[in-house]
Amino acid sequence: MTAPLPKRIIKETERLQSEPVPGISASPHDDNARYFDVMVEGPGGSCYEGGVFSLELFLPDDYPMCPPRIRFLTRIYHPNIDRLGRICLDVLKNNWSPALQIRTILLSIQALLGAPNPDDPLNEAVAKQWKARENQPEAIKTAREWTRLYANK
Amino acid sequence: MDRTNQQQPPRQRDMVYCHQCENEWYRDEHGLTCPECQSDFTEIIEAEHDPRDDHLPDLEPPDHDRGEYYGTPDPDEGDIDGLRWQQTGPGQVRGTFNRTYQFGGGQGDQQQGQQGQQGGGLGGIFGGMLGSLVQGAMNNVAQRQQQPGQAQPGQEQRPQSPEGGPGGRAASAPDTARAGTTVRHYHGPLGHMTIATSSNVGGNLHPRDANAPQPFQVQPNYIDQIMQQMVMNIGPGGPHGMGGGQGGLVFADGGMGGGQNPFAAGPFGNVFSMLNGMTGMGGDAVFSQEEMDRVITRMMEENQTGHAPGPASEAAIRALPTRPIEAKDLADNGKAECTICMDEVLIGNSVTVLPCSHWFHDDCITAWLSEHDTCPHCRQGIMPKDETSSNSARQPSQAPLNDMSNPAQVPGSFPGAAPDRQETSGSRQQPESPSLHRRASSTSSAGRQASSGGRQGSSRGGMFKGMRDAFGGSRNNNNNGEGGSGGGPGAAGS
Repeated sequence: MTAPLPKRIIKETERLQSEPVPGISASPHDDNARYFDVMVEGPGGSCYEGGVFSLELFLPDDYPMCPPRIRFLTRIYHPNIDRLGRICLDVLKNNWSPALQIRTILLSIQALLGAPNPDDPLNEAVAKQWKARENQPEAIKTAREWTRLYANK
Repeated sequence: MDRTNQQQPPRQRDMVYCHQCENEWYRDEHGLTCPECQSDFTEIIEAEHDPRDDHLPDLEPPDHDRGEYYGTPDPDEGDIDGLRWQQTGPGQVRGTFNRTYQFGGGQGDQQQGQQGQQGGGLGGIFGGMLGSLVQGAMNNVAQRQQQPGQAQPGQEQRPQSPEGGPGGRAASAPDTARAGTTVRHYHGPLGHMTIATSSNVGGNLHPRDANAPQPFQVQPNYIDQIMQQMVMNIGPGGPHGMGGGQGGLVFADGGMGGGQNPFAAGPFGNVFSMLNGMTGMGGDAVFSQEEMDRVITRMMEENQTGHAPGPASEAAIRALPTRPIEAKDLADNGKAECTICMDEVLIGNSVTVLPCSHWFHDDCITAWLSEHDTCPHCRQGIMPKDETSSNSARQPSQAPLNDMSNPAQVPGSFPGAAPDRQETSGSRQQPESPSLHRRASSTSSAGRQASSGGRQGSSRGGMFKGMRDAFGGSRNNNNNGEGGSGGGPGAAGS
């Protein structure tokens, strides 16, 4: 169970601290270096702007041969993120590559906030709202509202 | 009740009982911690103090609170007699009993013996199903017996014995062997069915309470068969049949069953075959949203790379060339590292080079290619396409291997072997992998649609295809999946 931490995880962790990505932070738990508390700021210009979203990230034993597991802890109204915070993002699934890192994955997630993809939804109800042209302003309004309600700093 | 047999197993071996999951095992084999659930809430079973007393079902209404199930008077319980439990080893309790079920809603009869003839209306059918599912917290075995002469759809059988009152009755027969078997026949307007219930009882004997979440229980082995049978027998019979509406459930996707189960025609069949095929782990009965979330989360996790390209062949991996790192490989800061392990690579170190000329530590890239035939940077595969396509038998209608319209097929060149996704580099002018091309040419545009996920999509449909479709799949690249703000693999290593 307590196999030595792969060098890669140590390096990634160090670099996340020493060269932080603007708008993103990830810090490992003291008692579990594979478990990270993540904060992602909503990208500017999006309906998530101003929100700070917290996520949890876990590096499975066979990382980096398989992707990290990530979930939003903050409630968010987004067609590719469901009620439980599960994220539909190809690089977290089939398109994972060991050349990707925590840093790049979190950037992808931030980008997903900036560019919701209702054509590939995880949250059907939200995606429906998002897709129907006449409903889109409403959906964006809801997303703003939720950001204000739940993603406060 | 009258558990006639409580004696210790032979040779006085201590048996330990887990209060958490009701598992039982020999102490000298697994110690005091439950091998099943790792709980240490365990107890050594002693002759005069058997913790299982609290768990084995007593079919009398108990004096202590055990949930509403027990509080509900069941007119059938008066029929139970001669119940005997026998401890035969860890996790194995065998019970035999006599029982007569009675259901309302039809006419019927009762016979003692291995075969109880049952006549009953639709109510009898449902009653029978619910009776065996809910009341029998035991391993149910359902078998459909072909009795062509008896099926009289739309016609009820007349009672055959005088004591058959107004109400469907089924008889369970005592079996003098260690297991009791109940065979019930139901006849109704929609056909007939037969259910054989074998009470070869497992160790976990809580009655079910369908109204509340429950701790983990071993699923009756053949419950899916029962459900399928239910759909099969009732569904096609009439316009109101349960199996009639294929689209009723999210999971009712034709692709789900993967054709592996001919019975998985209706929604129930799909759900159960899906749950069953998932991990082989039982206990996936879902009673609440929370449970459903748990099941789906697990499926998503297990399937997270299920649609990804398959492994490269060992031979192809071994055949990859190696070369020493040179000064030109170093980044601007004068260093280079293997992007898989992130270890520094020094000038002169040997690395393995992929056809796309990206390089990695030999161990690192071998580990990855053994799972997925893609370059971690550019996703190009290493398999020559002839080998790639040899996995699936070639159809006569497929285009020839040396398709002149696809000049990239020269053996030995690696013409972007099977880029499964849209290329992000844009430099390569080959929109389709060769296998994709062939498929498209042989199955017309419909086939092409279906295989837009690349060769894996075509060969790995199976049961998870339905899940992917249900969730919208991740086949379409998310618009930001790669490259978006430097998130793509190409930007990763530097």
